[in-house]
This record gives sequence, C-alpha cells and structure tokens, in this order.
Amino acid sequence: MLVVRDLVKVYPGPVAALQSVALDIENGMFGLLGPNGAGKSTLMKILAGLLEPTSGTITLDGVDVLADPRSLAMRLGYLPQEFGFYPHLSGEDMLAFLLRLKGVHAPSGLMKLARELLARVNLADAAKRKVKGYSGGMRQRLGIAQALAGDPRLIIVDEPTAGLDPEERQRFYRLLAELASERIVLLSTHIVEDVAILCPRFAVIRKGRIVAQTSPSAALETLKGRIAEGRPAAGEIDALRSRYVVTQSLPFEGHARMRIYCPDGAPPSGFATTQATLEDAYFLMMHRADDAKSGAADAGTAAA
Amino acid sequence: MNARRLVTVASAEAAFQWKRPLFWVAFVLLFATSFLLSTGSLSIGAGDVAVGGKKAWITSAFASTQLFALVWSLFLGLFLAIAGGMSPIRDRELDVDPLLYSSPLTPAEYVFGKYLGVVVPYLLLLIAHVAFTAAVCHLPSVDAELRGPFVLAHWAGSLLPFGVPLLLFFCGASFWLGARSGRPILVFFVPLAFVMLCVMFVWDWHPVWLDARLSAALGWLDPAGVRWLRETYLAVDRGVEFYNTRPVELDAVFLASRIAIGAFGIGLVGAAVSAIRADARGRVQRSVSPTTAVRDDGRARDATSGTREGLADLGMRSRAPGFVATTFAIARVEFHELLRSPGLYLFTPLIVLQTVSSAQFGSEWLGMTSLVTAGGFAASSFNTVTLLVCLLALFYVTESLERDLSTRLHAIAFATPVRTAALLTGKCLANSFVGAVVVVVAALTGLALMAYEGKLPLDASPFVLVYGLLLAPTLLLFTAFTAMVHSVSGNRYVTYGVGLGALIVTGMAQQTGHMNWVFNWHLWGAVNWSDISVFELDRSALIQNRVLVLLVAVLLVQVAVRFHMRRQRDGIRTLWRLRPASLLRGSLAFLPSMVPIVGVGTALALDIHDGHGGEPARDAAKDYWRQNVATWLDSPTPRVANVDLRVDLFPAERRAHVAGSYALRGQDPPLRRFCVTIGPHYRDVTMRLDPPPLRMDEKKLLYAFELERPLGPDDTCTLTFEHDATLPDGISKNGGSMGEFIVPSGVVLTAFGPTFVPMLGFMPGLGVDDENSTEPKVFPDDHWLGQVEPAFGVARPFDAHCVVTCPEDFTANFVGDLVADTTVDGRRSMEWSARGIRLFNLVAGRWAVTRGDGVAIHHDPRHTVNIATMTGALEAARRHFSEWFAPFPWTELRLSEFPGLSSYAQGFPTNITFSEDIGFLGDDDERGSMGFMVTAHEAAHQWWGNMLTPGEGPGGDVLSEGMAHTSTMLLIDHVRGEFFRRKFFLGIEDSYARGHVADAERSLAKVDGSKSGDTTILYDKGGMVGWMTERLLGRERFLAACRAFIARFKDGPDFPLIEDYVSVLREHAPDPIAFDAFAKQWYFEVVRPQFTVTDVRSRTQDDGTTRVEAVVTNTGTGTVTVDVAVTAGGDAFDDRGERRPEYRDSRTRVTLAAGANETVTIDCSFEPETVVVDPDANVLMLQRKNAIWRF
Repeated sequence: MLVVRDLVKVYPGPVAALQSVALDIENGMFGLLGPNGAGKSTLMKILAGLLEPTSGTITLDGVDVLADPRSLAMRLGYLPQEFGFYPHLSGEDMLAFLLRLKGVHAPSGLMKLARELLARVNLADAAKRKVKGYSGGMRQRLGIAQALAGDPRLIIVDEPTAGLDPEERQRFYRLLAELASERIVLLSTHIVEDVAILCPRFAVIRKGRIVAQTSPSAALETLKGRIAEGRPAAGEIDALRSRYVVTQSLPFEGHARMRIYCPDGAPPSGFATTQATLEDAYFLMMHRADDAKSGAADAGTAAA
Repeated sequence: MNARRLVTVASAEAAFQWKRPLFWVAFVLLFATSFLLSTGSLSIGAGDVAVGGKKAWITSAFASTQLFALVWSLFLGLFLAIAGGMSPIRDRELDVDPLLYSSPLTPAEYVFGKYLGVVVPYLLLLIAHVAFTAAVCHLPSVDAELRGPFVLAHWAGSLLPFGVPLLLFFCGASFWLGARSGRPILVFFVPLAFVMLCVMFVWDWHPVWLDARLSAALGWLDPAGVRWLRETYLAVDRGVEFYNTRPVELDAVFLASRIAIGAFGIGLVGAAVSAIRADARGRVQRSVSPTTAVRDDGRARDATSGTREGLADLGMRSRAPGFVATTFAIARVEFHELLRSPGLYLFTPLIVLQTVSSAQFGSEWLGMTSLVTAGGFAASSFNTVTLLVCLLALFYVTESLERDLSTRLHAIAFATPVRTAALLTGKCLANSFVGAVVVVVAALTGLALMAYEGKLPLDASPFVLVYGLLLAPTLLLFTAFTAMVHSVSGNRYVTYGVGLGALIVTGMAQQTGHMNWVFNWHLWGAVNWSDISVFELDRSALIQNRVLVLLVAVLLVQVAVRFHMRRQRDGIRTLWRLRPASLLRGSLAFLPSMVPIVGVGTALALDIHDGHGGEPARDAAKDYWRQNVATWLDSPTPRVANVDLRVDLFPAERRAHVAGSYALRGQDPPLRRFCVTIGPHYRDVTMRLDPPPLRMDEKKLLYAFELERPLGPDDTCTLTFEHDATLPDGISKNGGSMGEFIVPSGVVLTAFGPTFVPMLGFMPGLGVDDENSTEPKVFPDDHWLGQVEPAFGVARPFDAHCVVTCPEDFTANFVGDLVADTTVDGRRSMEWSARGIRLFNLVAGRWAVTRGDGVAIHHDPRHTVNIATMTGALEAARRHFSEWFAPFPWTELRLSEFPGLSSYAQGFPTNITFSEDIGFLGDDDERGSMGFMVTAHEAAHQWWGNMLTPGEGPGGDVLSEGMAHTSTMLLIDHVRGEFFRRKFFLGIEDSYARGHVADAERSLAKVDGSKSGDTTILYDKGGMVGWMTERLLGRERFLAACRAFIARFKDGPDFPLIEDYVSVLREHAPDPIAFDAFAKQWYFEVVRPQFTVTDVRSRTQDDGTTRVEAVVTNTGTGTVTVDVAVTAGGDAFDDRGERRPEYRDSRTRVTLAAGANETVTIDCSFEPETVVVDPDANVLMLQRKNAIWRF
C-alpha cells in the first residue's frame, strides 16, 4: 500500500506546488486527475524519488521511501511525462542498458529479456534499430517497456498515452489493467476518460491540493439525475452560467451545446436531464474547490 | 533574403547576447587588460629600464597592437565560440528550430541574422575596449615615462586589421561548427585548441632552418596576426625609440590575408546556412525516409488482445544492481557515445601534434635538435599532454554528465536503483579512457618518431612511468574534480568556468613560484626525465604527491556523489541542512576520506619544510648572508697552494664523507683574519687550522679565523676539515632541476661552491634572493689597465691530490691524472693527482669508457649513438686546439656523462662533464651535430677558461664563452667543412637576433652577464665577432695572435680582459688601421648591420652573359664589408655538406656604412636565381631574410 501524508512542496517564489497532500493507494490502478499545473507531475516526481519534498511522508508497504529512496527505486517502474534515450543506441541495447541499471535479471539473459519486453510493446521489429530513428509513439512504447521491467511493485505512469495512436493506447491500457491486479499502478493524466475506463479509484488535484479522492462510480452516483443538456440561444448563456455550474459548453452546429449541473434535479427550459459522465463530476469538483477557496477568502474578508 | 526578417533575428540575438553574463565576463576580462597595460604590467619587451633608459610607451602603436592581438585571440575565441557556436545548438536543444523552419524565415536569414546578432555586440565590445584602453593609458595618473602622445591611429589601427578579421573568423567558424555538428564540445574545445596551437606552435616556431617563405606563410595564416607582428617587428628587437614612435606598417600581403581570413569566416557562415538547411530537410526526412527512420510496422497483433502473457512468464527478478556491473555498463554505453563523437577524431591528432611540437621544438638549439628518447619525449611533453588531457576531461566529462539531461534520459535513469557512485564513476571511467587513449596515441607517436630516427632502441617503459604513473592520477583527479563541480553546481558553464579557473590559478601559482609538492596536482614543472637516474631526485615527494592526488580524487568522487542532482533538492530542506550542526554531521561522512589526505598532505608538507627548499634551509642561507656580508664581503683570503682530499662516496645514501686539507699561503699585505664557508647540507663538521688561530668563530655556515700571527706571502698554514655532505638534503619544494647532486646512479660535485668542500672566503651569492639582491659590481673604464683578478678560480694554480672511494661498479673522475685504482671489499678506490689547476670537480657514475687518442669518454652504456662523433670531436679539439692555441698540458682529456637532472656542460681541467641530454643524445644530421658542437665548445674551455682564465670584469666572459664558440667554429670549419660551419654561424646569429635586447645591449668590452640578453652577447656575438676577426686577420695571423695572447696571460698574476685581447690581436693585424676601425665597432661599440637588396635588374649581354644590377643598402648600423653574390642552382651544398656541382655564383664585394647603399653590378654566365648579401655567412647581420632577392 502506498501511503502519502502531509506532503508539501514549496518552490522558490514561494510557490506551493503541493499542499498537505494525503493519499492511500492500494493494489490496482489509481488515477490522478488534474489540470495542467495542478501539481500532478510534482507529485509523480516525488513519488518516483526524483524530487525532494519540503515536508511529509511517503511509505510503500510500510517502508519510508523518502528516507530510503533506493528501496523504492528497486520496486518502481516509472514512465515520466517527458523523457528520452541515447539516440545512437538500438532500442534493444537501450533497454538492456536500463535493465542493468535497474538490477533486473532473467533466466534467459538480459538481451533476450529486452527483446521479449520490446515484443510486448510491439517493437520487436525495431529492436535492432537506433532510437534516433524511432517515431514519437515508438519512443513512448520503449519508455513503457522499461517501466515494466523488473516486475515492479509500483508503476507510475505520467501522461503515458501522449503520442500513442488509439490502437496502441488501448493495448497499453489493457496491459496496465492486467498488471494492476498484483501491484499499484498510479496513472497521472488530464484525460478524464482514461481514468473512467481504467481506475477503480482516483484523486483530483487542484492547485496542489487533493480536492477529491473517490471512485468513478461514486462520483457518478452523486450526479445521478442532476446533469442536464441543452442548446440555449446565445443570449441565454450568460444567465445560465450565473445560475448553474456549467460542465461543458461547446459550439455545435451554430448553437452552444451545454451541460449543466442542476442541484435540485430540475433542468431549466430547453434542457433535459441526461446521463452524467466522469468529466461532469471532474468539472464539478474543480468548481467546488474554487468555491471553497473563494468562500474561505470571503469568510476571511468578512471576519476582517 | 528578407532584410526585415534578418534584422529581426539579429536584433533578438543581439538583445540576448547583451543580457548574457558571458558577454559581461568578456567585458570585465578585456577591460582588466586595459588596466594592466595602464600600469605598465604589459608592454613591449624592449628597452633597458634597469639602467634608467627610455621606457617603452604603453601608448605606442606596437604596444597597443600587440596587446589587442594577443588579448583578443586568447580571450575572445572562447567567448565567441560560446556566443556564436552555441546559438544554433541552443535552438536545437530547446526545440525552437522546428518552429523557425516552419516559418517564412529562410535558413540564410536565420543564420546570418544570428551571426550578425553575435558579431555586432562583440564588435562594439572591441571598439569599447580600444577606446577604454586608450583612455586609461592616457590618464594623468599613469607614469609619465610610459605615456607617449595620443595618436588616434595607434589605437584605432588595431581594430580593422587585427580585431575584425579575428571576430569574423572565430564567430563564423564556431557558428559553422555548432550548426554542422550540434555538439557543444566541439564548439568549446576548438577555440581552445586553436589558442594552444597558436601559443605553442604558430606564434613561436621559428627554427633556423625554416624557410623564410614558409615562415611568412604561417604569419599570413594566423588569424590573430600575432606571428606576423612578431616576425616582422618584434622577434628582432629594434629598440625603444623605434617602437615608441613608429606606426605598425602593414604590408599588402598581410592586409590581403586579413581580408581573406575575415571572408573565410563569413564563408563558414554560408556553410552553416547549408548545414541548417540540410538539418531542416533532415527533420522532415527522418520521419518518412526509409533510410533514416524506422518503420513502425509492428501491427501484427490485434489491439484488443492486449498482452499475451502479462509479465510473469518473463521470470524477471529485481535485485540491487551491483556497483561494478553497473559502472561498467554505464562506461560501455558512454564509450559507445564517445566513439561517435567527431571531436575525438579531431582532438586526438591535434593533441598529438601539440605533443610532438612541445617535445621536439623545445629541444631545438641553434637549429639542431636532440634525438627523441622515450623518457625525454614523455617528460618534455608532460605539461602539454597534461593540460590537453585535462581540458579534454573537462569538456567530455561535463558534456557526458549533461547528456542525460539533454537527451532527457535522466527522468528514467535517475529513478532506477543504480548507485549514483556507479553512475558518475562509469561516466568518468569512459571519459578517462578517452584521455588514456589520447595519451597512448601520444606515446605511440613518440615511439614512431624514435623508429623514424632509427638511432635509439625503442623502449616504452618511460611512457608507462611518466604517462602511466604520473599523468594517470592527474587525469583521474581532474575527472573527479569536474564531476564534483558539475554535481555541486548542476551547470555546464559553471563547471567550465571553475575547471578552467583551476587550471589557470594553479598555472599562475606555478609561474609565480607559489607552488609546492602538496598542491602541485598536475606536476607541472616537476617532472624531469633522466635515462640514467629515473626519478631519483625527489622520488619520495613524487610518490607522496601521487598518492595524495589519488586520495583527493576519491574524496571528490564522494563529494560528487553526495551532491549529485539526481534528486532535485528542496530549497527549504537545503537551508535546514546548512545549519552548522547539520553541516558538521554531513561532513563526518567525508571524514574517512579526509583523514588519509590530511595525513599524507601533512607528512609531505613537513618533508618540504625540512628539505633543501624549505624555510629553515632558506633562513639559514639568508642568515649567513645577513650576518656576514658586512664583515666578510670582498675580504681577502689566503691563497691555496695545495689541496689534499679523501672523498668517500655513498651514492645509495646520497651522501659523501669528505676529509681533507688546504695548504694555505698568506697574502701581501698579511692577513689577520679570514673565513671559510661551508654548505648548509654539511653534517658533523670538524674544522681545524694549523697553527691554531687566536680565535675561531663558528657562525651560520661560516667559520671565521682570527690569526695569532698575520699571514704573509711566505707564511703557510693548513686548514683541515671533515664532514658528511648529503646532497640533495631532503626533498625540494616543487621539483625541478638540480645542478650538483649525489644520487644512486651518479654524482656531480664542483668546487664552484661549498657543495662538497669548504670554500675560502664569503660566498656573496649564497642566501640572496629578490629581497637582498644588489646591483652588479661596477668597474671603472681603466680597470683592465691594473692587475685584474681571475673571473673564477684562484689567481695562482695549485696542485691537488684526491682519493675517491665509491661502490665497485662506479668510476669516479677527478681533475688531473689517475695514479692508482684498486678495489677492496666492494669499494673502488681511485687516486688522482692534478698539477697547475685553478678549479676542480668530481663526477662519478656507472659508465662504459670509450678511449681515443689522449681522450676518453665515460658514458652510460646505453648512450652510444654519438660516442664516435664526440670522441672524434674531442680528439680533434685536443689535437687542433693544441696546435692552434697552446699545447695541452695534462695527460688525458676526459668527458663524463651525468644524469640529466639539470641540462648543462662544464669544462673543468681535464674533466669535462655533460648531462646526458647534451651531446650524448643530440641529433647529427644536415642541420648540424649537437654532439660535435658541444664537445668542441667544452673542450675549447680547456684553453679558453682553464689555461687562459679571463679577468674579473666586463667583457671577461667573452674570452671564455665567446672564444669557445669561435674555436668551435674554427674546428667545425676545419674538420666538418664549410657547410656545417655556415650552419653553426647562422644558428648563433639567429640566437643573437632573437635574444638580444637592443637598448640593453652593451659592447663586448662592457657586457658582464648581469642584464637581460647578455648571454647571447657573451656566447653568440662573441663567437661571431671572433670569426669575423679571423676573417679580417687571416687564419694564421689570428691563431698566432691567440697563441701569443694565451702565452702572455695564462700564468697571471694579471688576468686579461677584452682590451688586452684586442691589443694582442692588433699586433698581428696586417692592416692596423683597418683593424682599429673593425675592433672599435665590434668590440667597443654596438653595431647591428642589416641589408636589403632592391631594384634588381638583369639583362643579357652581347657575349651571352647576364649582367645583374642591384641596390644593396645597409639599413642597420656599422660599416661592413660584405660579399654580394648572384647565384643559381639552388643551395651551395647538399645535405651531407658536399658542394653541389650545379650551384654557381658570381660575386663582388662592397663596403657599406650605416644607411649607405650601393648599386652592385655582377656579370654571370648563368641564368641568375638570387642576389644574396654575404652568401658564405661570414658577417653578423640582423634580418638576413631581407638580404636576399629571388628572381
């Protein structure tokens, strides 16, 4: 079990990238959702041992990984958001090199293992070719292969499907889901749909704070019958925005297509109740987090 | 090309450059040089400021041009490289270039815009530098003697011909390198390599045999213009007046070369455009081309099928990766990357070239070179190789550490459990291996040179010792240091700055004498090679130093690992850790590494302190001087009538036990007291005077005797002494050479100082340094008329008897004749007897002996290559000098080789000593024979020095050193022929031209060796003037004069000076009037003729011959009679010194006063090729290259 308590990270400025983050993550896939700049990558880097937090604790199966980063590294598979490889090495050599750095062994030998792993990510045919000739998707798959190496206890994948085509994306998610049965897989993404498909539990991070930690089904349950969809006229939009929380507003065939949250379950004129999505839940959580913050600010102002 | 877009790019780049710290560091550096110039710290090396002569102005055209040309080329290269070369690389690393390439901006606009954006700010910097320098140098606060009138052209004149081409070239070249290679390492290293190539080769390489046209071409090719400036104006000193008042006149070819260099720089920018264009295309192609891109054809499986088996079937297990295995895995991958680096293939030959040039050109002397020996090559190239390999390590290690960041592999690699130590060690190991490869290539080059010469057996062991045991720890240390700085700073530029700073600071400490064994991590200046004595001097210091370096390297690796930015640190936590308690706790981790460092360092420091270069030894010598100079300076001493010595040599213990006595005779007026100086390395000294003195004071290194009865000319006494002498006494401060020593493989001791026997009187040079040095003694003009004391040794010859005992495998040579030689119980005892000597020495070693007619050469059994030549030279010298000057009065003339712990040769009576690198290992080829020349010179000292001891006073040394050179020239002419005689003349003429200081030069009658440039006057000019005198008098008259001169003065008591010599010569001159004119200008004045040949015309006459007319002008000083020849058929001699039959000449003779010219007319029966002044090299002249006209 991965337990994060009171995790704080302050960058010079000062900028609070993480504020009292607390998470309990058990075996299985866990999604971390949040907008750009919310602190997802900071949290991922800290969990991967690449960044020192300002304060807080992290334990993996009871072991304090901040005090003993090497013990974490030996049980970690990490696919960062941005990474690269030595361009002049072949994919096979590059992966074998990383296997050596990870201390991975296999009965059949490292080179064979590297080839097998490359086959698992559909790079068998490119194994002998230099990485500099790989496309973005191929590099991503090579990154995935190295993250799987060593049968890690904890797999952290930060925006892993960037650059993958739908086919590969589906294959990768299937692989992750299979692996998650015996280990913790932490998926950081801003694509809500990915979390909805894969993660039994997820957390939403906003401006360095965990604003929600729940399951997709629970999140959807709270919205049941309270999401309405309609095509309001252009003049009505501002009024609707002031009355409802808008979870989606997109121009569609000359009109705006809006989804709104109706706390009382009674949609306004021109809107009809529809099935809630996790994206609706996500935006609502964001909205509530902002409200709570401004409410706190208002309370502060009133007290003053 | 769209001008607006071009200007936009240029403006953006310029704005970026302005804001960079780099630009302002360059600004500060350049402006600091202005201040140095304004304080007079940088100036033209001319003038005799020591005697209050006119000083060189810092505001002269030559001062400013020299400063700007040097400073700009030394400093600007690196800055421009970073500014220009990194510009395209930076855009590539930031992934800006795809955006730029997809815009309407063309590669040409992009590249030239960037180029302009760098060039313009730096051009403005140069202008500001010139303006600022001019301003500070003309400030009223500047010493008025250093300040000339303000002349705008003096300052602005440097900018266009020197600054702008350099700027355009450097910036263009680095831009091209950056755009073409995309590798920062090339961009950084190439300008440094260029500077080093210039400093070590281009600017200073001027062997006598180098063709003037090739030399000029090098000047035109030098982007800095320094070689042209030096060779045209500065190499031969023209005097302060010239430099202060004249502008730097640029010739048309030089100007054209400057334009070509600037244009070449711009051309390289054009090439950069092509590179960028190709790169832009390449980016598109890479995604589509089957040749460069990998087809993503692995679609065999259905996307919905997922993995076949999960991961369990792979049987993967993880365990902590082993340090050794991961280190080698990293090293292997690093090395793979390094092998792909084009820089490696560029730098390795460059380093080899530098190594060869530093090893070979440094050994050149008078146009002759030494043979390549493995140890000599390794040691003489040691500083260069160390510096270059350190620079290579600095750049490669830094870029290697940066590579993980630039490729973004760090995000994956740093999250693995690999130890940081393995990560760093693997990288350092791979990069050290690169350094090792370079060193091995340098060693192989040395061996290849030896094989090419084919004269000495190949031996790689010195390379293993010097490059392996001495250089390898330095490489490891600097690699660790680089890794440490990069780990702590996390910044490429800081690492470069600190690394270069470390090299500069320690280099300066070395230059200023502030370095010692503890801190001399690169061993610069501390490595001396001797085939005979391998690191016997300071061996313990060398070992401790290397151990210390390795220990520090371990500590640095530890620090590097501790601070490596593998895990980005939190600022608040870092502040917390900086608390004293935390720091103390943190530093405890380093304690195990620091303890041995402190231990070894302290032990070494104590050894230095207690050694002969340490403070107590220095203080003892200074106390000696301070306490005794007032009482004993110039106080009379008794005359030595007889010396009786017993010297027991214990080379393995570096010790000699000396017991002996001096039979002394008094002086007139009688002596009431006298003193004896002993060496600071004497132990267990006993000193006794018979009859006993009234009082004997034992002071610091001095025994003072107050006599009971004054010691008159007929009175005698005996000084008896006994002591142990250890030499060297402990280790030195920072290595280097040593002239006299007792080491396990050889012994050299002389009676010039109290190294093994006490010296009568006070030694005025002992304990003297910059703090208490005094002006040289001034002699009146008529000093020569009175009775002059000898310049060295004693006035009256004495007899000496010496018994030397040594290990049985040693031979010990003393002056005089061997009278007994026995071996008992493993000790050899050699008894020597010498009559009529003024000085003595003792040299011992394990030798082979080669005997000739009345001569013997004692040499290392391995050094046989020149023995035949040297034996021949010694035989010829003994035979011919005996015929020419005076009979040789002793039985045998010996020459003994000693370990090259210092390079010199000395000619004591019968007992000449050579260090191994002089003569024994000199090359013997068409350029001359060092072995023959040095042997002849030192043999000549038997006559000019020992038999004829010059007087103490100005010009005296010309009679020993100058006449030894003249005698050498006579012998070369007689034995080896005209070709080699000319080579020798031209060699010493070049040495004089480059070595003399115009304003400090004094006549041969006044030169005393105390001023800069005096050595070349004493030796080279003295030798040439002797030869010219011989030409004037004719050989027989000249030799007769020499014989008469020696006969008249050899027994004293008046010892001769130049005036005495000239007066004897005059007696033998066929035309005394002409001789007086000659002697006046060459012996008593300073003249320096120079000739030019202009307005050459030739026409074919009716009889088929060709008439050549040419104007010959003496642009120098003095009135000189010279031959002028029209020649054809190339050189007069072939490489073996044989006259070439195809060579022809036709001559005339002219006498030209200073500034005078004459049109010469020469008819010849061949097609003329050249008009040459002084074709036979009989007349001293400067700028001989101008005294020739080529059709």
